[in-house]
Amino acid sequence: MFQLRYTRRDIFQSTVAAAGLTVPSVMHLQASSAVKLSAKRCIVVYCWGGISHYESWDPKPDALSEIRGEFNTIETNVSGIRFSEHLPLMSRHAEKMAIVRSLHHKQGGHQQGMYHSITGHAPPPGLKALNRTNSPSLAALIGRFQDPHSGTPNAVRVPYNMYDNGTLMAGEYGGWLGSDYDPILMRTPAGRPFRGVSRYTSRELDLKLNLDKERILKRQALQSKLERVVGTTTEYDRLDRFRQMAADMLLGSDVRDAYNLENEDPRIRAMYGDHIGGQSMLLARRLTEAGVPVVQVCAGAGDLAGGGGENWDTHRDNFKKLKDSLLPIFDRSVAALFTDLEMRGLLEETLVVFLTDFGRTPKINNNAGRDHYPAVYSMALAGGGIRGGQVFGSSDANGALPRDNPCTPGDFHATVLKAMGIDPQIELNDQFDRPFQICNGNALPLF
Amino acid sequence: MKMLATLIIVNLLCTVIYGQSTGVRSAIEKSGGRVEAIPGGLEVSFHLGRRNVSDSDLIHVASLEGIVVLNLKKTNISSEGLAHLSKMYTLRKLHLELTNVDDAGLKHLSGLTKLHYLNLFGTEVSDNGVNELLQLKSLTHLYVWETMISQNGIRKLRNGLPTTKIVTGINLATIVLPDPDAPVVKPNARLKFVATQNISDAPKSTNGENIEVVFENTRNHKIKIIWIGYDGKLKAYGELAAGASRTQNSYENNTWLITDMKDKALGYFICEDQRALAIIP
Repeated sequence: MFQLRYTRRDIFQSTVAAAGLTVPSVMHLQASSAVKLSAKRCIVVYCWGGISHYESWDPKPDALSEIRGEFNTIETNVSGIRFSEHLPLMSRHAEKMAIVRSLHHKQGGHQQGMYHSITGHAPPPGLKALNRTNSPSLAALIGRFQDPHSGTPNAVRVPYNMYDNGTLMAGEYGGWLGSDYDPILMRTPAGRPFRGVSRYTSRELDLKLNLDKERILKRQALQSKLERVVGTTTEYDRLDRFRQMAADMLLGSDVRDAYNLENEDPRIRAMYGDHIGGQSMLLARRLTEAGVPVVQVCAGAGDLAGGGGENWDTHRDNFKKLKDSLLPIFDRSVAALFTDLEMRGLLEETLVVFLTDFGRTPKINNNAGRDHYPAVYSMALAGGGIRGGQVFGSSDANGALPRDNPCTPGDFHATVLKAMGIDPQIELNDQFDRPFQICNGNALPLF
Repeated sequence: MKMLATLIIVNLLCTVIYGQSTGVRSAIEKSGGRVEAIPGGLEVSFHLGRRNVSDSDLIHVASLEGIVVLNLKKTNISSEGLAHLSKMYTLRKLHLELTNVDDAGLKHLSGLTKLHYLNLFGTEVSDNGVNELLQLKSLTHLYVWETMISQNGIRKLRNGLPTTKIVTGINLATIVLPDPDAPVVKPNARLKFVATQNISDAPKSTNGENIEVVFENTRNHKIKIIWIGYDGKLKAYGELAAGASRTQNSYENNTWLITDMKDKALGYFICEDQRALAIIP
């Protein structure tokens, strides 16, 4: 089972012994030309806080008004599929999307729900951010199986960390894969920010830094001198790898060029909108195009801050918040991403994944809000070999429980991994060589 | 024993195949290319190599068997180079976007009967190439955004290749650009200016909701805008000419100190929970 420890490229590149194993399988596979090509890139859009399934992809126009809510529904370009009326641009792209309306889990808190959704594994008790026994995030795991060019990170996150009232959340990191696979946080260098609170840690990359080559090289030389004196430790080596990658990027690479949104056609930039939500989506397209295998976008303010600010945790003023800012920003940026990927011929090989903590309660509360609801909710996939224009599973008439084909975050992850050409059943070893099965779900028939 | 012999033979055979391909592979990698095993065969890509790939580099590519995906996006290859691809019968996906390929090159693709994806976005291919494209009956996806093909040409393609998805993209000319000279929309809310000559009167910033402040300098001289950090440290945020205004990203409960050009304090503003005008009297 040597494959488990290597990327696809490693397998082909390794020695004659490995060639003995891989070349015949390549030859064998050539015989069957009907093999489906896997997606090469992945963009994970995370709706932090829990997007309401009623007000997005699973509206219930026939339910009582206290459940239905204030919004109407609209036809999409696929007959029979209806979205919330505040997703008018996205509704023109339903033929690209597979909506899963029967997801469910048991985690009612943001941290636990997000962890289950983003790692595909139920949260252990006593969850803590950056704990190396945590499961890796979807982005980190996909990045683990890729071998990008030098100076290109395996996985990137933009534009914020996920926080809840000042506490850094567990789940969006490399976990037991080790710090080499922590997706690197990059600031989106343009766009009006989401209202509310967003935070950065000290390790995000800001490639806008106006450093010239000579200065960077001088600094590196000085650093290595200092390090020879101080000596190194393992953790220090890892930091060093991060720094080296940052320097590679700063010194000029496709990634740096991609990061500079000023290089983009102003008309394309305008299509995404001048908000950081849109510009982050554009950055995700540019980074994946430049060879970053996976980019995760936080589509909302970074800190939930007690349901204040522009994030999906709409305990108060659900409808006003969604209608005035959250849905229009989301709608425009996602529709722009789909349009852009498609006309460049990238949608076929780029899988777009939508994740969220959970859905929102059927009953509207006294603050015109909806509360946390993991019993049923919706997520979606597009591109990357996924058959668009379909809905998998359904919720009941009130959107309260799964009706057909109930499925779990693990099943959703298995689907994503399969689309990326990664066997969801395989095991990987952690840093102490203990084996972990990467996914415990079954891929949904969305291909 | 028989099994061992078989194993040795298989391994020898593989070594020969691998050995042959190794030379070609290193030639491809020298020109910035990359060879990967994917389901169904090999993928060769040059688009992230940051080297000048030209037509002659394709000779090596053509000699490597079993290529299913070839990515030549943004390279210097031209129509002449495509002649080398004419016998790559296993090819299913071909990226030629943003290259110098034009109508003349398309005839070389006519024998590629497994080709299902052809990307010509951003090339000079025009209506004169449409007839060659119509020969590619196996295509399921054809990308022609930002080419020279007219609406008429697209119609011909759609009629001739009825099961092919022909992606023409959006017309960029229809996108309305934001006007950089548009006047700043002034908010109705106004922040209170607390006049003081003593910098230490201005309190430290504390955190809150993200908002915007529109500074407006009504004085007849330039002023400096300074943010008082969460730790009380001062951070310069530039100058504002007499009569000028500027929008500044900020947070609720943040303090903005205004000084003259000799760093003498004039007063400060404390942000509230909404976008507001800060008029320097």
